[in-house]
Amino acid sequence: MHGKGDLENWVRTTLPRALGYARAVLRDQIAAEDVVQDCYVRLIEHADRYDLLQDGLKILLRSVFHACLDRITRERSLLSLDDTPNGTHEICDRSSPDPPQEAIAHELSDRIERALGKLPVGQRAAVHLAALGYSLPEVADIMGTTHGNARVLVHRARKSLEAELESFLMGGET
Amino acid sequence: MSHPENSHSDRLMELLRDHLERQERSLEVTGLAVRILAAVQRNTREGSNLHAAFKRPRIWLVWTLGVGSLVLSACLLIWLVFMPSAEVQAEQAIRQAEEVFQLPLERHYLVEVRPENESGGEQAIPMRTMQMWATGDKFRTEVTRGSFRWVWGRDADGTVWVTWHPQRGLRIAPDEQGPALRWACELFSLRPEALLSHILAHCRLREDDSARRLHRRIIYAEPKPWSRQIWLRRAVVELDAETKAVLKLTLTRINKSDGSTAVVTFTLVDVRPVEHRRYELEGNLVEPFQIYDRHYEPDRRSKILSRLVGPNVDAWLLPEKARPQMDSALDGIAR
Repeated sequence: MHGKGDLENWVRTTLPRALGYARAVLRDQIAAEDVVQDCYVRLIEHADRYDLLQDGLKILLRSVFHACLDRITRERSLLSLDDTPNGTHEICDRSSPDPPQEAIAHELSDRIERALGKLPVGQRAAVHLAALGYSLPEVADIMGTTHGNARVLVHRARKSLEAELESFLMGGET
Repeated sequence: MSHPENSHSDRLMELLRDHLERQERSLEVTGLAVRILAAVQRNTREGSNLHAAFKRPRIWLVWTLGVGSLVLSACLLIWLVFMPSAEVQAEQAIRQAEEVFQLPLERHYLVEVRPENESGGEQAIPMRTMQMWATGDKFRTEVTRGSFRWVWGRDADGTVWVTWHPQRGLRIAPDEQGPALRWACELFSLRPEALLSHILAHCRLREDDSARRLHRRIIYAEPKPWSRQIWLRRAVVELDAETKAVLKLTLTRINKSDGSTAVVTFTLVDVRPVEHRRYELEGNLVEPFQIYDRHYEPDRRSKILSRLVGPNVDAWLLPEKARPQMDSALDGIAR
């Protein structure tokens, strides 16, 4: 990368993908913005080690995925540490549909969002990349897993999504 | 002939791709891009390893800028010395704002704490934006991280409390509080009302006249050269020109114990009658509740705290053996 202008362009070009990915994994806009900002800053700090124009997006997505996982793990371990006696918990599950939205959610995008929200994090992260055209080796590389595991994650995600979106896939509802 | 399962799967991926690409296009990223680039630039100024990302300025440019800023500083100094009336006006505005704060009300602020150096060691504040309610010496802060929310505050006697669940909370007595927690408390106990007095006593004031057109008064405060109150590097106070209410207060704060700095911005959201119970731990819990403290499940309290603030829990909650020694070492931290 040669100068400030290149860097700005690179950030502006790659940001929608990185933020979209973080949002998909975390299901939370604010947390996603936090994670993405940290990842960019860290990556740019070490910009002399990489060719950001060439490989930057993939490295960025890898960094975003792992940062999201760290965040989810930290939140989960807190929840499991403190078991709730009556099953009530103030912490909301953003992936669950809220009633008013449920009532009006006839659009395809809402259904897809909800179906994605029901997937485990790994499957959601893998199918997101696969749908955007990343090959299985690339998915595996970004997620830091094996090719076989990436294939299984994408396959399971597809099966679950097919079941959830069956009516649309049968045709007619789009 | 394609298998129906495959065609389903292809159709699914097609739908998914369209959906995700549409989402990417609809994302509003301008603000975030600006924040990222600002953070990168800030790090550059602090000497991080960013030479590959930015070109080095030429040496003559550095000299020109250096000499230029010296001349400007000298002009500013002369202007400050010979324009006392402007400073008097700014002082009057701050005094009027102080009077507004005397009303027995609860003020709700949006607070952003931005460490100037992200790798600020064990005392770095891991929080970024939060909501704060303050009245008198008490404050209560609500932190949201993703889908997780917790509330913490400080009682009138200095005990810090935290709750993350309607029926669970923990308490940390003043003699158990580690340096990071004390630093965080210092930041939040810097309520705007208390700060205005400090600014009046220890700072030189300068007003931005252009803001008056917008019915605002913006006053810049910097410690007087002879001031020994070195914990504040600078402050910017934004007042409503008519009501004299403080709308926004931005402080650059120095942590005396490790030299790290944080920029704290208080933005007024709302003013309403005080509800005192909300400043006590019990006032934020629903019965039956459990409160972890030094007597009741202290190990569990440490574990929960580590999940909230990170693995370096000793910086927040002193280990028992370190309490007396650390206390005396920390007595010098500026209030």
